[in-house]
Amino acid sequence: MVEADIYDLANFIVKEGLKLSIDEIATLVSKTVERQVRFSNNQITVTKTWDDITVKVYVAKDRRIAMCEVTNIEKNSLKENLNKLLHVIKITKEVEGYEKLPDGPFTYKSLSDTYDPKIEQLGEEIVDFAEEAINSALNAGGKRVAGTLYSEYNETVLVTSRNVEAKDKGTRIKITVRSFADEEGVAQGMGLSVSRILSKFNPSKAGEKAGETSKMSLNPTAGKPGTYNVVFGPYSFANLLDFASMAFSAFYVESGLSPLADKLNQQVAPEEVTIVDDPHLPNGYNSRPFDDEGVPTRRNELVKNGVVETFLHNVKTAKKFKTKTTGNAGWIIPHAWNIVFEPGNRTFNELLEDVKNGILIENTWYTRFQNYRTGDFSTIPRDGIFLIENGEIKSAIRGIRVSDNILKLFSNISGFTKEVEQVHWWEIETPVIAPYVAVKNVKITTATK
Amino acid sequence: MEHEDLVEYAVEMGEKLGADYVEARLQKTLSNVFLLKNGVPEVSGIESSFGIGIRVLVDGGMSFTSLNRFSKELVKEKVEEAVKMAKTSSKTRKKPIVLSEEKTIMGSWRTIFKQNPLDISPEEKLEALLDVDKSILETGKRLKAMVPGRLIQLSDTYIYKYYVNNEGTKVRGEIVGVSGFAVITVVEPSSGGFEQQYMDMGATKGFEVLEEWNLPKKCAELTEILVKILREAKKPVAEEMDIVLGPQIVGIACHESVGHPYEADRILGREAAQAGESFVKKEMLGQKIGSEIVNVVDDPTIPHSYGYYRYDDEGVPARKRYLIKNGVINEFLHNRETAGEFGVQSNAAARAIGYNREPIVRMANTYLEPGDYSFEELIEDIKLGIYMKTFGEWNIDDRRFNQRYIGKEAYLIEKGEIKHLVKNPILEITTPAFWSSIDAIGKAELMEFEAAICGKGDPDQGAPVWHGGPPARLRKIRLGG
Repeated sequence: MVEADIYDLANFIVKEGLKLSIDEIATLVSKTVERQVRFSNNQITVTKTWDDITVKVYVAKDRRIAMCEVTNIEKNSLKENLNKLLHVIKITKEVEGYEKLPDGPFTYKSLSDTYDPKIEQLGEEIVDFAEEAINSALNAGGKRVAGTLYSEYNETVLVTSRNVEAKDKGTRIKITVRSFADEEGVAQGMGLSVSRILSKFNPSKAGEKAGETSKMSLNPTAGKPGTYNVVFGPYSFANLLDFASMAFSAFYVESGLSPLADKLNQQVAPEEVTIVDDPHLPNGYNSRPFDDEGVPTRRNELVKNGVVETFLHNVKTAKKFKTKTTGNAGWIIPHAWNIVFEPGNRTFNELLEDVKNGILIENTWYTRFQNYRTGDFSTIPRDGIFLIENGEIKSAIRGIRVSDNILKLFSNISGFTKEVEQVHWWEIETPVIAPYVAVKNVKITTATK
Repeated sequence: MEHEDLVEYAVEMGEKLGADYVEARLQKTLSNVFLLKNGVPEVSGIESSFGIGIRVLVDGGMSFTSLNRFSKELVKEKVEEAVKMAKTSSKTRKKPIVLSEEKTIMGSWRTIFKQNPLDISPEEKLEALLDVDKSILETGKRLKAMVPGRLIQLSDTYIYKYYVNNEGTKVRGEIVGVSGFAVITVVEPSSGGFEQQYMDMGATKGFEVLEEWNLPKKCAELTEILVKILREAKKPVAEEMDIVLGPQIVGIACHESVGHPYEADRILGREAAQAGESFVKKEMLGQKIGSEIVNVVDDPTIPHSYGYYRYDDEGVPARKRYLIKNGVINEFLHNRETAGEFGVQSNAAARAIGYNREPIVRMANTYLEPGDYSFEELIEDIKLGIYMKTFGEWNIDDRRFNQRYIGKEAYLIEKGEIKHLVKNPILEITTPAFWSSIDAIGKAELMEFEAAICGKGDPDQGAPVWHGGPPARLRKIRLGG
């Protein structure tokens, strides 16, 4: 059961809002108890705990909207903010393609593996998980280990003046482990474990992956510029899919910030590629039964057999695009819940054999676009970059950059594994389930001086 | 401010429970945000956060906690929990955390402004955005180009902080700031080609800053240059040449390849799992990293700058820091934890962006100090070169060694003269090569700053900063590709 206090708070806000003669109001109230352990140089750097209530309010009057996000939950302050919103709304302009909030009530799907009382009850013993990961990375070949562990218990209540009352509670636990096998810090590896339930959380495995990869990355040689067949690991491909998920949002399509703007119903990847947004994914890090407008969420195929099937919508963007909401509100910006790249039929070793000669990139960061509309971008490989020769990992390399176009990358996908991994860490906003993905003819650049 | 008594109570409680060091910071943040998408108000919003962040050091272990409900009972509960967590984590440490010793301060500071943004009506703020949009559209129409993507945002922020620690330091701070953001996408109707650029503005000033910025003019100029790039820019040649970088690129390079790698927490590996470490090591202090004329500074005390503060979030008085002096690595950025580890005093780089964030090592306003060249003198002896005035895409590796900037507004230089626009020239270069290739720097009147939100920390803390400098000339560079 979601605690009565945030439920009462949400109803108080809606009741007070309606007293102000607005047309409609929605409020999303979240209570989050979160713990974090950060570690570096094989020891705990800092521990953190948060115990916050956050309130988001949406109000509309005469086809105009205003919103607020507050952590000051004193009732007088909330009333004051509602009055401020009313003032703002009176002077703002009508929203183009305004659509009222959907009428409830709705029935929501019960999700599996999204709440675990064992995570809710975790206290200082989460430090032990961090130590387990550190030791595992050291045993696998790391010399210096750093990382972050989060555990979270969250309750969310959505109440709207359109007869919506939705509640959700969930738990989350995740660890990022980064290992260095040399003093210079170039022999790197990263491992993750991301889960909603404790039984599927494996800090030891994350540490082992980080330690092993860092050991394999010892003595790297300078990478050479050119065009290569590249195998992207789940972490690096998740980085690209995270950006791609933004490109599917109707808000960014309309803002001129999506390379998919003119690609609806068009082939953007080989037939084997299917990409889904799945808010009902068991153990999905961001699974949720309702969106911010109260609409029941649903599984949406974004790319089916290589063809773009839909953008992500709330009721307002859907009206503008003359379609129906996909259950992805965001009151302003529709967003994905869990991006799933459907698995293939190859093992990792088979994929390497298929590629034969090329580069394996385990992770990337600092992805930046020269032009979001065209999709020209570059990203920097890290945490394991290896030459593939004759279908096998040969040796580590360093100092390279992927400098290409995201549409070209997707159209050049040549294969992917049946093994997938859930990826969510500091660099990635939307959780992604990704396999190892092979891409032909990827442009690699290096520093010229 | 209400609830200040709870801050002092948290510090007392921490001491009582055996913390060697305890600090508490009450922080209230109020923001107004107006967003215009393609000429239509997408949302008008208010953000307000108010709470207390508490940090304790017990037996060499550090713990942070925060709360946004104000009661003595909850403060007590959270401090007790933090002390317990700190003790547990201290057991894993081979070396205890020791903070640098700093003077006790009783201080207060505030930004100076004429027009309090909170007193400006939402009507006026919205009108300001609509003027910008109108100006962009008129420019597009005049040039017979389409501008289908226009995302413009205007925000203002008021922050109140009250910091107390158990050493007797008490600092109150009040910050008023305004920021603007725009992304403009231009389409050439005949070819269907796209060009896109963003623009960031920010200052700790009142609403009067809008007049200084003249956003309608700035955005019209940006629109015009994007159209010109679409129509006129030619592919750059690949041979070795000299490059003159505009203030915007000099500034981002100061931030990315000097400021970040000189953050002592990165050098110590504290950020290794996220933003990474640094190619700069502790023992590199005093080593040559660039040409003798290179001086890179980080200075929080510049009045009205976006990264302005007088005391950092550990109550240490702010000062100017020379990161590179005469081409030599001179100083790193420290908070009290890293200063304690290095055996030096903190230079006041501890910043926390909200009540619910720990103070960590951050930049403020990072720039290249001016030289004595006019712009004409910078380019007059260049036979073949590029003037990269602004950039679009950029990135740098997690050790801050290999960086890349792609020119947006960029021109060919031929025989000492600026010629035609060039399309997307790429500077992909190592950090020592970048700073060692500089042989001339523009004079003080050519200095410009750009605002940005710098990301670091876990959870991420987006800190307002400026970076900039005058134009600078780099010799013998081969463009990347």
